[in-house]
Amino acid sequence: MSLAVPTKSVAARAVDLSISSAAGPIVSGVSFEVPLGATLGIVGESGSGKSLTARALSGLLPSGVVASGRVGIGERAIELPGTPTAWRELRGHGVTLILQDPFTSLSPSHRCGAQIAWGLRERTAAGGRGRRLARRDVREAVARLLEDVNLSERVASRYPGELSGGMRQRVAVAAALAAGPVLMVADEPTTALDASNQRDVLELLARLQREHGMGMVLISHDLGMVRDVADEVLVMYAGRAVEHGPTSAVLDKPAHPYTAALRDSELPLAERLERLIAIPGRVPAPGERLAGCAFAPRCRFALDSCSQADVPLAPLPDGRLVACLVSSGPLEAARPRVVEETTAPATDVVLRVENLVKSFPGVLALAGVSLEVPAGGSVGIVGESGSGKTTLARCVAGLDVPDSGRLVFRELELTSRTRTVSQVQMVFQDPYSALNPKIRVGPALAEAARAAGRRIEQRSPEELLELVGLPTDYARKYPRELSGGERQRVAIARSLAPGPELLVCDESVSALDVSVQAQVLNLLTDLRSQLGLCLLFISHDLAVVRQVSDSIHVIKAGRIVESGRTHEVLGTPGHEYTRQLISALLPTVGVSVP
Amino acid sequence: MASTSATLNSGRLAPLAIQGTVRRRSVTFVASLVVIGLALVAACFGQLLFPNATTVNPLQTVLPVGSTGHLLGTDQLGRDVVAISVAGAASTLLGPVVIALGSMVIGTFLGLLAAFEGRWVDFAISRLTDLLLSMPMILLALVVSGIFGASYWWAVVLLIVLQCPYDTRIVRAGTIEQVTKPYVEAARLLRLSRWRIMYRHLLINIWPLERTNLLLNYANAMIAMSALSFLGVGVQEGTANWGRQLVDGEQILFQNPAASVAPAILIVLVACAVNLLGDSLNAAEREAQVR
Repeated sequence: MSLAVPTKSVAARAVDLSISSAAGPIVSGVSFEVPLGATLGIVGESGSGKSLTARALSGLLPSGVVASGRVGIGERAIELPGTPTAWRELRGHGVTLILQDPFTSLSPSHRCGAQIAWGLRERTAAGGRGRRLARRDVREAVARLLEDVNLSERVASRYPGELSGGMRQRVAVAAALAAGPVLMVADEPTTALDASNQRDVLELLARLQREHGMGMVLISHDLGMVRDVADEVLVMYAGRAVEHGPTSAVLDKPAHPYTAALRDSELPLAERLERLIAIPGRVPAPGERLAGCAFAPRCRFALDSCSQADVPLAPLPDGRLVACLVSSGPLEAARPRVVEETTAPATDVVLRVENLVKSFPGVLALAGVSLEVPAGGSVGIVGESGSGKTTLARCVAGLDVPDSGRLVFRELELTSRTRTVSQVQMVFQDPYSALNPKIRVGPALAEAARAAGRRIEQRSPEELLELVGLPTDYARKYPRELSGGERQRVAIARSLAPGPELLVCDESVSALDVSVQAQVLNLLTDLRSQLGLCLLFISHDLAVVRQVSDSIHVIKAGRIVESGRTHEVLGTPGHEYTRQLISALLPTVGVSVP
Repeated sequence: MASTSATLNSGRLAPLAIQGTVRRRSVTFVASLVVIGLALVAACFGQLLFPNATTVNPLQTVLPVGSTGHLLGTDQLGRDVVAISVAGAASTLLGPVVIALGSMVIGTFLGLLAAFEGRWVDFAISRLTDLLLSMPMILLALVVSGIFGASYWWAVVLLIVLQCPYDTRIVRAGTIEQVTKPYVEAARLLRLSRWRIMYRHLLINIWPLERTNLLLNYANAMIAMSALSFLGVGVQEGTANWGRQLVDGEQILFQNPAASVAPAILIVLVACAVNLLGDSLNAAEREAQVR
């Protein structure tokens, strides 16, 4: 099925692409080219404009933004914004989009086969053959496409709701392939999936791109993923391209301070760092961008001249493009101090979980889980979605009531009567829904501090904000005025307000950008030593748990399958499941080999 | 979410289209405010403007539109149609305010309670609303007027009872969407009282829904009150009330059509203005959220 075209011809091209909204420019003057048979990775944090860039390639910009510049797919090109008719024709000639969330990108009320067939009909229509495909031909073509994405033919008659996240994403990929694209745009295609599925879907995309000789644009915040499959990388910051070149050069020897900072804030799995490297500050919002290099306020190399005039992309001797006045070549990787991990002395136990069982209709979420959290300790719980780790967190926090088993907090059995707000508090995953959108930060924190009554000395909202490293004038802001990382800090401050001894963090950094992730993890480490706080840290991300936990429990199908000191369990895993989780994180070797 | 709301980019036309809708919206916003403002002035100061509006003039017969001194003629009791329509604003507008507010208060209480407590509380409240929703309004109105007499305030009470199940359902649905969000769970973890969670944390987030519903209910209640007047329930014959005037004017439809048509137009105008005000407020809210 491979398209017989010379490898040099172009799958997609963007020239001087700019996108702006009423608030200000979101993407400014980005240009790139994707040859057929090659993959371009676009990396950057949220607010970098990478997703809108991808959408501009497929003409699917949300209403309220305007695009300008030129976009080409295959041999055709279009002057943006372009009329709906022009776009329909361009799209018909081969661009498809694979979205992050396989739960909403498929129609819930159509069978998977029908959804894949839509793309086939589109292709026939664009081919101008003017004849409808026979029903049997469609069925065969759908079966072939499903086989292509490693799914059984039977999936065609299923509804998306009957499939797992990984399978749905494969169906979405099959539907994308059906249109016979020359360009596949994948926007964070694996972010919503479990680690093992992530790897499979990524390998699948890379294989299909190679076999079909397509061009692929892969949008991701995950440098490791892009490193595995992309030939070239475009790094975006605040709507501008800051570095562009071959993957190995850009990601392994970055020349722009922002790329270098992104690389340095990646969390290592092999060791625990004393202090994680975070990028201070936050990505400026579209209205806040000042003249000059947008990264200058957060850059450790910044000079006065950086913020005076716009810095254009300029070639370095090795051929890559970098938009920086200071840097003239690869930047040294920062070398943070590694913590020596030893077996900690036994201390008294703050929380003891004894044989916890919890079932929901049709599912046994916890099948007898026991563990202990020592005073001042940090215990990590890792597992994939559906393993029961969130149910465990909710039972410990008191949001769910276990069917059987005991929770003992400092020799006191926790029941709805003996629970107080000063024992356990929780930090949730999504910083956007964890704060009441209609209540300002100050009153929200004050309310939380009052909740403890007279048991503890109440902290004022200002003290709490200082504790989590936010300026005190944030008390007057609404949650929507804050960035994701800032919201999560407020959520942490709120949970600390009643003076809890144990903080349950349920995937508390998963929704954050890498640089912000490091900021929040550093904050949690500081709070531990400052307040003598214990942590129960729940995550699917082994590298995150590596950085914050002294000991670790691996949980699968409601049971703990392996426990021990973090460095021992992750260094020399004893259980097959732990080895699987670890190997899913290692570079996807073999992907680029035909 | 951006991914779900993504639509085909219609290009350069987009910002113009946005500006266009904003302007159109602000025109309807101002127009509806003007209509509601005038109606309120009439309701508050109608008695002062036309102190003798309701005085029956037995010597006068029905005068047609354009008679000297009576721009819209007079009604079957010889009263000036303009004066009686202004004087009727208070009675027409006040009842529906009480109905819409009363139904909102009851609906908010029951809806929040049902959604927050769940289980049997939810079951009991939901079945109660189902029961009320199955009541035929007209029949019930005739029965109530038969028992308690055909008074204005009994009609108001009846309409509150019949309207509140709709509010209960809407508030319940809106609350159920919020109640599983982490900010509510965080409030539970802080062991805040259920009333505090319901009225400080949840109500504020379903308020836009309630406000729209309040305004919609107001328009409905005005029409329902007029309908009840038509059946002789609620407002007595000869009272200055738009709904009642509509009915009374029917007898003299061919001598002076304005006696019926004028209050009918007023009802439609105010009902539309209230609805459009609700729409504009919502659109403004949505825009503020986008920014």
